[in-house]
Amino acid sequence: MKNDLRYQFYGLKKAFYCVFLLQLVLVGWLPAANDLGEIFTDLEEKNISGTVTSRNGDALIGVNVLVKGTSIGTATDFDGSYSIAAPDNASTLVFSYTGFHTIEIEIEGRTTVDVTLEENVTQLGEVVITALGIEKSTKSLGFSTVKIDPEEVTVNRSANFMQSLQGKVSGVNISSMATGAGGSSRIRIRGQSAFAGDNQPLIVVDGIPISNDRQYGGTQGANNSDAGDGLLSINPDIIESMTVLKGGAAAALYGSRAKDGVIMITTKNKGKKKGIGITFNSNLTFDRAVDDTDFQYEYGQGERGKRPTSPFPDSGVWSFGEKIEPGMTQTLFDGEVVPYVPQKNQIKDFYDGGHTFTNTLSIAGGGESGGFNLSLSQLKNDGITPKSGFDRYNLSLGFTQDITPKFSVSGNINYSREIHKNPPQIVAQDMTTTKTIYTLSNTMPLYLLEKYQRDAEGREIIYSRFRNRTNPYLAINDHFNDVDRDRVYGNLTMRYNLTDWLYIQGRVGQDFYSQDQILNFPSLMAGIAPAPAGFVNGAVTQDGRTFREINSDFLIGADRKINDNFGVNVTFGGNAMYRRSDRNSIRGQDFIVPGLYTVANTRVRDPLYEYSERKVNSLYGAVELSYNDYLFVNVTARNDWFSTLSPEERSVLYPSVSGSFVFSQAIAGLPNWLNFGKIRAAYAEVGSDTDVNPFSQTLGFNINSNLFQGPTSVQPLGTVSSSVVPNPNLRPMRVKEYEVGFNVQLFGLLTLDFAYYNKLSIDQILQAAISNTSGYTSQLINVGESENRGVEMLLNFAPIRGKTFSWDVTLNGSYNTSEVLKLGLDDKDVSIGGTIRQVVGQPLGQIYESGYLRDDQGRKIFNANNGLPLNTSVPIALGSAVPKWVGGITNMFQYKGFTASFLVDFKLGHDLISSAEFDYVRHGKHQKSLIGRDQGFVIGEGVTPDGTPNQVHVDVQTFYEADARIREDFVYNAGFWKLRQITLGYDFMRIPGIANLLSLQGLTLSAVANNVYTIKRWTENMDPEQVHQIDGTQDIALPMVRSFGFNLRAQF
Amino acid sequence: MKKINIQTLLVIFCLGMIHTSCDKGFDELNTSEIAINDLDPVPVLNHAIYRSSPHFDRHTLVFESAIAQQMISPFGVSLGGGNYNQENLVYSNLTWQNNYESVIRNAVVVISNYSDDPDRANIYNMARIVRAFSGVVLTDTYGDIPFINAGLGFIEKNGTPVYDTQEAVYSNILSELEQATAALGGTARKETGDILYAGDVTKWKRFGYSLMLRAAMRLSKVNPSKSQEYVTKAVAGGLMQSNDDVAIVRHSANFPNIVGSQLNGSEAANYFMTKPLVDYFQANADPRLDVMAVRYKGAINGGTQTEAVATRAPADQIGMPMGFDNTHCSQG
Repeated sequence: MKNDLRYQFYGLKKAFYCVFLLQLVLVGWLPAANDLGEIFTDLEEKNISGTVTSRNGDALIGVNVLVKGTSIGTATDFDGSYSIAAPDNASTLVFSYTGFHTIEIEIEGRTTVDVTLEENVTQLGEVVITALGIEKSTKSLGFSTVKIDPEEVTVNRSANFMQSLQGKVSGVNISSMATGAGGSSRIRIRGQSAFAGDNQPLIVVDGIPISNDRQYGGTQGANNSDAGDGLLSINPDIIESMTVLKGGAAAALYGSRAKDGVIMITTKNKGKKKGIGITFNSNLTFDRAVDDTDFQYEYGQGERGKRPTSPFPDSGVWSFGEKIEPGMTQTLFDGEVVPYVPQKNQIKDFYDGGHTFTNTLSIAGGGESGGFNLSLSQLKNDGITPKSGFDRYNLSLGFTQDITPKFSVSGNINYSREIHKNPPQIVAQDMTTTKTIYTLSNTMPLYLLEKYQRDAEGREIIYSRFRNRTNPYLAINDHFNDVDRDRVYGNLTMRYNLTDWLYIQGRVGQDFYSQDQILNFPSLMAGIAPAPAGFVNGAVTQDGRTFREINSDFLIGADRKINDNFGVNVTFGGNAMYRRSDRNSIRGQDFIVPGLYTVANTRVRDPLYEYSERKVNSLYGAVELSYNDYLFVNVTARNDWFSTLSPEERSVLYPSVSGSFVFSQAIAGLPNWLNFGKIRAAYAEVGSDTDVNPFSQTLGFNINSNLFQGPTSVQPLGTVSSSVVPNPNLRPMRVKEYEVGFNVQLFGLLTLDFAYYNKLSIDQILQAAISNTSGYTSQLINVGESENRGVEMLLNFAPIRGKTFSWDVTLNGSYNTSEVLKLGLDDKDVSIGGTIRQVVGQPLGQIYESGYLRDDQGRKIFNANNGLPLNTSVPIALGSAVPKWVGGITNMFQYKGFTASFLVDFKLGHDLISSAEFDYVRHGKHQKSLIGRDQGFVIGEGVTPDGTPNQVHVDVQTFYEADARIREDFVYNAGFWKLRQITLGYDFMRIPGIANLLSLQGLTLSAVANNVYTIKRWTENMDPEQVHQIDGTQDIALPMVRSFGFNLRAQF
Repeated sequence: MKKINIQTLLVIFCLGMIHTSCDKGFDELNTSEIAINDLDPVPVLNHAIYRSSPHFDRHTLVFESAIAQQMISPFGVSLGGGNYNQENLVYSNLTWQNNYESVIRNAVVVISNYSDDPDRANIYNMARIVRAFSGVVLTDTYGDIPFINAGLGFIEKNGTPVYDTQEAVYSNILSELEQATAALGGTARKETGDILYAGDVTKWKRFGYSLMLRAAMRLSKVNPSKSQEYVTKAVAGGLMQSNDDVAIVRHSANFPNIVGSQLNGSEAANYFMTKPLVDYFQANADPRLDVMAVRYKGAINGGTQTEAVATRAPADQIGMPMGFDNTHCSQG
């Protein structure tokens, strides 16, 4: 019965929407609507004309000119000129233009009114692109947004442009992964909003969402490389503006895609000046690996205190050998006797210099009724790992054209080709260079490893009894992994202004990519079982993926002054989203012809085909009421229908309300030094659209791709496809967020923006563990709850602002803390996860691992027989993995044509658990493992279980191998302070007469440096950012890369 | 011109609205085109049989072969387990996991779906025997276990089956074996696709009764009368007669026996036969020794274990002493 009622309600709601839509369609047909503008022309009028220029004299094209108090308006033409027929009684003209201050000019009987617009250098009167691409003035916003200057990503560059923004954007936690130049970034806004998933913001380009999915370079067990993310496709030179919508309210019109905020990117679609403009940008940077280790070099290769003295030692990744004395030798490989001396530069020698060379040519045209921007770009990266690199080719065309004064068409199309050559294997056991190089014995000369890769029969030469520490030269020479992606995304927008206060807009956009990958596992490696007779072992995988997301939307917007005091702005729209990804893969194993890595040459083949498909349909609307241009209230609602949910749960409503009060404008008599002041508040409920997978309501079977040998014939094997029991009542998680904030500008020098938010994430889908004796491991239920709260601050201060010299300081910082509130239906459900856990009452991401067993006095307890340290019976809390403080400080100096900018950034208040340091101890490279070596044994400092002092002598290597298994000591403060970027630029246009050369319009040369210096860290032999993920666990990723180079930009 | 534009736009909007206003087609869209929702029980039971192979996982190497004192690694850390009487949580639950999540899950699906289908009575009863086999492995390894209601997480939404005493588990195993074995045959279809016996009911019966014998013998001390009762039933029913009757899971290069591929691959230099086993073989002149054992004379590590120095002569073999710790024999 309950269900029936619900269904009826659902049906009613549907019917209501259908009727509402029908009405809108009919309204659209009304012939009067597009003739409204002409009604006013019957009044008596006079012609006013003039030109609008910027301060430096450039004609401004497309400036809106409005007769105040009427709807009569025009726009400036190609030369910045306008002509408007104003009623006789008109007294004031209003000039508005994006990026400039809107001004009102008294006509005072003139027929010529020339105007100079002031560029809007502060954020305050600015217009920002908000959700769905709607432009709004910042002062009307009841929520926090950040606008990012494209210069931040086009001068001091990274292949993945998001990485250039690390530490620069208030409240946005950006992390670069130590996985290679073509790697991915991680973006977190206002904390980790859910236990599961990436929790990354939605990326919207020109109003259409694009995929930011991470691409993995490997699919087989031993392959784990980073082939970038969706942002990697973007050529930063096409970015016109970028806005971060941080909170739920800002992003509310994206409903189920809004829980982590939105990054709105608007691309260039016309030239800024009349005629054709050409911009050429060239950027060359050199990359150097940074060695953050401080290993011991007193004892060299070997185990049990003995150095290698006979051929083919297998201790190549152990430094538990003898004390290094002058004149000593060691025997390596097939009897090479070489000096037993420290090899301190293994890391810098192996990871040779890389470089990145980026060239972009842009041609832009501007005219009275439209324009275009065509951009061609090439990026070539040679990675620090030998034989790895990343190339990208971009072709982008953006355009806008007024077909009639009321009807305009705009669009953009972007093509990128991304080629990853051997993106480095990270954290894998096999075919990774990092793990081997970092654990390699400290006396192993690299040239010998390079010389002895395979024996005469082609078999891997064993130099380590850990066979999956592949010889790094063999790994880079014989292992290949190529990931190529072709991507096309863009949209077409048509907009019709029915009147000057009512428009309708239709838009369709698609993001499509196709990605091919081929990778191998080389033959004749010692670590894998031999192939059957007649074959050599090894594998090759070919993998093809396609992705498509189509968004079609419409928008109807009306903006009216009701009277002198009240204004109303109404927007209504809908969106249909369709997303599908396909994967076609085949893996072949065991080769007939050695060294021929193609599937056709293999003995056994595993094909795989899978796809995922979903739709979300949405309707949404927003109403903004304004009073006297200083009080704004904005209410939005979005309803999403999900194809992945059961019919009863399919429809979800996401509301928001926000308000802004510009008190500096509303209250008379405030002191002069308060230039601007506003307070704001917002509440929103938004969600996630990906947490319920397609096809997850049913349980089916899988068939194994190979047949199994029975007594008389081969037979198929089939199995229940999932360990997860389906739950038809699942619904997407939901975030309820409120924020309050203020923005003030003081003394004309200081701007401060402050926000407090509280973000409650409910209905998170958790795998409620069921006993695996039921045959299944879990059932998904909507039960998890967690909360993030914090503050964000952006302070801009100009200690000196003179004509020839100025000094600007920008300080951004955010503090976020979180708490896990609920993890199960039962009060006993207080913890989920393994090493990284969610624990009720604690912040998200707690690090739990085994600790030392201690007595009441805190002394370590050792096994009375073997003298090895004892561990706690259950893992103990060792730290918290999510940073609390994130921010950066930019100091920028300008002197005549010179600019110098220094960025210091920080992340603080979090820990990581390091597998690298664990390896360094058990491989004998950590300084900690020196204790006891001179006497040949270790006596653990502590007591035996009966409380007497431990006096058991333990072999050094045995002790440290056992000691390393207790992870307590490998948890470090992961915080850091870094001098992230230095940018030094000179504007050659300041040289008199240079403009005449080659009809130059601009010429800037900058020296750039990235990851310049670590001011403070707490880790031992690694950089806290030397990670391939941000969950708080660390394994040996690529060394940090310090880069420096030049950026040249010329405009013609 | 103007009118055409408006009309074009409106057509676009209307199309957009048809898209957005309804959820038509969502059910079809959310049904996978390639998923298998209904599958014949034979491949499903075959999967359960394949995964019941007792050497399926590394649990065997790290614990079972060491506890039985047959094969050990003298290296600790990740290979530490039965060799040093240590806990190693990574591997100690693998037998549990494999049996419940693969063998029992699939066997129980067959049992539940075909209990009322006279034509498929054979596959139903074969599945009961496979489930009983898994029960013996589980309770022998772990003692009291959830068994009678295990594997019903999806079918009966029983996510937390209760623990049964080992006594109750064996009672269930014995009565299941008795009923299932007796019920095999008749007019039901011959399940020729099965990978143990190709549907040969006689061999399945011998397997069932032999398993009953094994299970009954487990009770010989705790419950001699019940033990005797079922041993008698098993013998009367007919046991395996020859090697042709052995229940063989035919591992192949595509479905390798994990123990084999570990010992031939990454752990090749890390595992040794134990001293007790080698001593026993030598003392009893056991003919299996020269088949199982190889010694690389003079080898000091994996790299020097070459065929040139290999000897398989029984007298040359040396077993690794139990509990022997690590690379005291290594010279770096």
